[in-house]
Amino acid sequence: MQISEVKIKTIETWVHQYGDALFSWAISKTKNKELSEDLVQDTFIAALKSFESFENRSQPKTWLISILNNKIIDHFRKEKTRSFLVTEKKGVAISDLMYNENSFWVDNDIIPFWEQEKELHKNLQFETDVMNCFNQLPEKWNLALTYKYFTNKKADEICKELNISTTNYWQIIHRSKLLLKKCVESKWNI
Amino acid sequence: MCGIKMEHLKKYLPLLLFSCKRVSEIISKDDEHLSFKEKAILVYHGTLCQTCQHYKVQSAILDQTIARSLQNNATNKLSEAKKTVIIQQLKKG
Repeated sequence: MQISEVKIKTIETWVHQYGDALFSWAISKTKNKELSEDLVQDTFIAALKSFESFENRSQPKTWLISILNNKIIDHFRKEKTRSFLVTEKKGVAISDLMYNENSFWVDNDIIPFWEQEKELHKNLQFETDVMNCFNQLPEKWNLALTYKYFTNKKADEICKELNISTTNYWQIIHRSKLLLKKCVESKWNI
Repeated sequence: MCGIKMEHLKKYLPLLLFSCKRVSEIISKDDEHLSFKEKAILVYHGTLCQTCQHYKVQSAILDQTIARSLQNNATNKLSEAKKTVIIQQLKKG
């Protein structure tokens, strides 16, 4: 069998193994079936073209998801319907500004909506708003969070696959939550 | 005397004095990853700081909302027809 045939055969296996997971991932970001199918197709084609750069350091699924994520980001950039507005630097600055120079909360006001509804997490409007904010997080943070909640993997495994330290991972999770809190509060504190 | 022994104060006072920044970082972690010391910090700081108590509730709501949203979407499947199309595209080069 020629090298190119081996590559195609490998990716064909991945289509069956990981196609559903990639599609679910794309749907969670785009909420659009046709677009998600196309993005998954583009992902596998891109994977074939850059097969040599896959060095077996990560799981194939991790590698494919990182390609898909870039496709999703490219799509939103082109469409300009939604953009990943917050850069990592800006995200760090925003979250740092939520504490004062002594590292205590700047804003001690309790915004009532958080505790007014018993099962707020099941409120569809709230979910939509949280996920819109989620999609504006810095790319790396978005990826780490999606891994955490989508794959149900343990922190150690996620860090290994994303090639980040555990300390860095929990910092990302924490800063992301602060940004989400701020973003959602700006929409719900009426 | 209020009944608090000096050795207890020396032992637990540093736990009360952790900053909200440090405490909220601990809150953002999953419970299963917390050390005994971190759990103690949460309990002692939480008795004094209402804002951190509320952040704990908010952090849990965010966890539940994101997990629910992403996992609801996890049941979506790529159709067999689309998988076939993708494989054909791969073979075409």
